[in-house]
Order: sequence, then structure tokens, then C-alpha cells
Amino acid sequence: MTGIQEKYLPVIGLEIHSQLNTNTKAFCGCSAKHNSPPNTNVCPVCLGSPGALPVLNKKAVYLALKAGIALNCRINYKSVFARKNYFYPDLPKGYQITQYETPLCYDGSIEIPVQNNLKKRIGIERIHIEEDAGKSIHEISETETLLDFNRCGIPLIEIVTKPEINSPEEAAVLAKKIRRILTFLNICDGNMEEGSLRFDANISLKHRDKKEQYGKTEIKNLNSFKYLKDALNLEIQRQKYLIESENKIKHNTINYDATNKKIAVLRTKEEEEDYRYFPEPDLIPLTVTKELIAEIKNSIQELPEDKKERFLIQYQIPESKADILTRNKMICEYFENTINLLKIKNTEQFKNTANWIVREVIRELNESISKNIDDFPVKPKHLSSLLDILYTGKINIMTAKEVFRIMIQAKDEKEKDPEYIIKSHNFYQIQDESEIEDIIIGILKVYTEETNKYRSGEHKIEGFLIGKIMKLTEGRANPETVKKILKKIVFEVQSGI
Amino acid sequence: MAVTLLEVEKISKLAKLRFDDTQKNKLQEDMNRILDYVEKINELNLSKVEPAGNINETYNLFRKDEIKQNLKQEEIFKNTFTKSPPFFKVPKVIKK
Repeated sequence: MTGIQEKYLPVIGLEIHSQLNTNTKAFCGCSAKHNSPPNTNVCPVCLGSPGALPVLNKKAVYLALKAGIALNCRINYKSVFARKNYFYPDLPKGYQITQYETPLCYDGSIEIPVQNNLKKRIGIERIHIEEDAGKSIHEISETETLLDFNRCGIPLIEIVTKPEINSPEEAAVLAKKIRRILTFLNICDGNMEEGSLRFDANISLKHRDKKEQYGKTEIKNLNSFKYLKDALNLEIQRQKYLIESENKIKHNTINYDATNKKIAVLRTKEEEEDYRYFPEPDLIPLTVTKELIAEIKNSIQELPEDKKERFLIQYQIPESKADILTRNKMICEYFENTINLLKIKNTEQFKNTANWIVREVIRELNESISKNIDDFPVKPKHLSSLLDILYTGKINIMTAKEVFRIMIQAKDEKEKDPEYIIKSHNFYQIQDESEIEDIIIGILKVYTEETNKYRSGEHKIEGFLIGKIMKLTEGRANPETVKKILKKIVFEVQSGI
Repeated sequence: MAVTLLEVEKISKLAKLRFDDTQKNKLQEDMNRILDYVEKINELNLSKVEPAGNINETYNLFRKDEIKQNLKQEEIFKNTFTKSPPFFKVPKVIKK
């Protein structure tokens, strides 16, 4: 590690902006859909027309509370909205509706893994609801900035951590963990490329011995974990240079240019009171009932991290698989439903199920149009019966994959039944060893030259012969059995071949 | 709590508005008049009154998360001169 880590301790706080998974905007009925043609999801409310009044979206409140509860926050049973006044073209009202003095959730915490298998608790200062701004497009015209207000008014939560993060690595780990919780609970789609989730980072350095804390800056709009880490590392270098050369660190806003891997000072940040916050007169106060909190708590049940821990113990599956299976709530349910429907329940079958879902189901899902496991044609009941058949050895793994592909294409329930597919395609493995023997003898007679080479010790011929046999049986023979019988015929039995 | 000329200048800067000296003096006068008017409330004893963020005594007016008809394309740009459909436009914000 460089001297920075030794002499100065980074003090980092994150602000995580997360668009909420709602159909409509925070204060009007316009669609919150991404990638709509420019300025089609707009109305007098989100365009800031005089006289238009905002009405709060209940789903946004529900999702924000869910995030607060998942992050162990306390809830403000009564909260008010505030106007944050600033003048910028992407915000046509001239102010952003947000929460200031009374955020919906406050004083939470989250644990992240650190070195030596230890855990570190990072405080969550607050979570509040606010509206997103529109999109400015600077690239098209030389003389003008173009504006698209589709995003203007989409509900966001801003999760503010306490400045308790002490390295760019910790910041990235924390950001990843929060993203996983938000996507798992369907609070946010987590799409960082489309800006559904983005980070701002406050950073200052503290002298380890002198305990002196230097000036703070804010890096804006980082939309990947890597950018977050890279930008923080660059800003630490810059601040260190300023301190060492006895320059003052100004309260600046920093922009990270991902293409050139450079940071640049954007502007001197306006002092907080310059936003002239005041209670939003167009919205009445928001109250939350204990019943609603209880309902949300009930709906959360198990967080991804807890699920993963349980999967490791209960099903004895490898951590890498448990990690993938707990990235998404629907996949988790698919996995556990499949397990519950298995007729043969043992750790080997649990591992098989995990493997199959990670390797086959998720791969197919990524290639499908919907990408939603609820729309996936092969349901847990179909998969569990396929895995049971595979376990009994009636078909081999290659055939099982073939059956799985047929199941995906099947038009109706009957055609999805693996038993039916295996029977109608004559996929059952040849159980009768004498049948396999006959086939092998037939093959050896055709390939006498190869057989002789094999007998005289050319082992690589084995694969060739097995391939021919498998081809003739259309994959219905068990390769292990074939190998065993082949060896017996060639090396033990004086069959005259 | 009289508003100073410096404060008038600060607020106009934040609002991205420019005024000449006569206008600034007029604004200072207006702002002070408004504050004097609001100051009247301090004549009352309000020590037992909770601060109110809103004069309505109702709580929780919600909207269901259902998509409502947006504006029609021809209506969207009706109130602006500065458009370049499908976009609104303003003078260049970021200078290179």
C-alpha cells in the first residue's frame, strides 16, 4: 500500500440515489418507464405549469419504507415534504420536492464484511423520498442544451450513510450490498447503466496521528461500482497532493470522467442555506401507521444475506452457487420450490438442483426475451421431476439437457412432462447390458483396425470408440457402462474380434 | 431583520436574475415590507403552538400507482417558444 493509507485515513460517506420501482411518477400519473420517446411521459405537474398540483404516489411511500425497514432504520411517523430551490433547466418548477427536516426513515445501519472475516457496521443517516430531475442533452447542438422531461418527477429515495467508510473498497462493498437488498426486495431495478441507481460520495482525509480532518469534497453521479472506487482513489490522491503542498481543500463538487479516467473540479458548492428549503405548501404532511410498518416487515421476511447463509447450511450448496441464487428473489423462490417438489431429497440432489438452475435455467433466462423467471416455461414442478429422473439413472446428463431444451419449446403441459418426453422420444437409457454388448461388438467389427490399436495400448482410441457407440445408441447408453463393457470385451473376453 | 442590499444581490444571483440599482432598491423595499407584515405575528404569544408546515389539518392524500393519460404531443410545446421537438431547448448550459 502507498503512503496515503498509512498517513491519512479516508473518511467517506455515500449518497445513494435509487429510482423506485413504480409504474408512475412521484406526484403525477405519468408513466415512469425508461426509454420512452423524449417528452412523451409529461404533464402539467411534472412540467411545472402554473397551478398544477402534486399528489403523492402511495407505492413510492411503501417502497421507501421497505428500504428503511430493510436497512434497520427508525421511521418518522409524521414527515413533511420540502422545497429545495435551485435554478437549473432540468427542473422546470425551479425547485425539487424532497424531504429535509423530517426524512421518512433515519438512524439505520448495515453490516459489511471486512478483512479477517470481521464485520463492520456502517450507519445510515437517513432515507428520504424525492423526485428525479429531467435529462439535459448537451451533445447534439453546439449552441443549445436540449431537454427531455420524461425522467422529471420519477420517485427516488436518497440513502445517506454516515461518514464511516474508510476506503474506496469498503465503499464499493457497501454499495453492492445495498444494491442487492434494493433489487431483491423489488424496491429498485438496480439498473446502473440506465441510471436507476447512482452514487455520490463525500470524501475527506484525516491525519492518522495529528487527528486533523481536512476539507471535504463531493464526487457526483457515479453509476458503477468500479467508477465509485476509481473516482475515490483519484480524489484521495488529489487531496493528498493538496495537503502535502499546503493548499486548502475547498468544498468542491467533483466530476468523474470514466472514459479518460480523470476527475475534474466542477464548481464550488453552494452553501446549504442557498437552497432556501421550506415546507412544501402543495403537499399535506405524510403519516405512517404502525399497521403499515408491520405489513411491510412481514413482507420482507428474509434478506438476501440471511437467505444465502441459510442455503449454505440447509442445502449444503457451494457458496458461489448460493451467491448467484440469492441475487434475485424470484430465482430464490424458484430454487426452493424446486427443492420442495423433489421426490428424492438429499444433499446431492440439492447440489444438482442448484447447479442446474445456475448453469441451465439462468443461462436460458438471460437469452430469453422476458428475462423474468415467472415467464420461464419450465416450472419448478417440471424441473424437479426431470432432476428426479436424472438421479435414478434412467437418463444421462446429456439426455437430460436435451429433454430440458424440449421442455422449453413445449406448447402444452403434457409436452412439458419429462416422463412423456423421454417416452415419446425413446430417450430412456439402455438398462440391459447385453443390449449394449451387442452394439459394442457390432462397432468393433466395423472398426477392426482401431480396435487392434486400442488393444495394443493406444488409449486415445478409447474416446473414439465410445463416441461411435454413443452415436449409434443415440446417447441412450450410460457412458460409464459403455466404457466398462468395452474394456471387458476388448481386454478380457476372447471374443475373436 | 431588515433585508440588506447584499442579500438582494445574493438572491438575484441564485435566481439568475439581473437588476439595476433602482430595481434593487425597490426590491429591498418590497422584501422588507413583506417581512414587516409577517413580523406582526410575533405580537401574539405562540409559545404553546407547534410550528405548522401546512395550514391544512388533513393528512395523507395519496394517488394510486396507475398511469394516467399524458399530454398530447401538440399540447406539450404549446406554452414555450424554445423548442426543437421532441425536445425543449435552452441556451447552452455547459460551456466547453
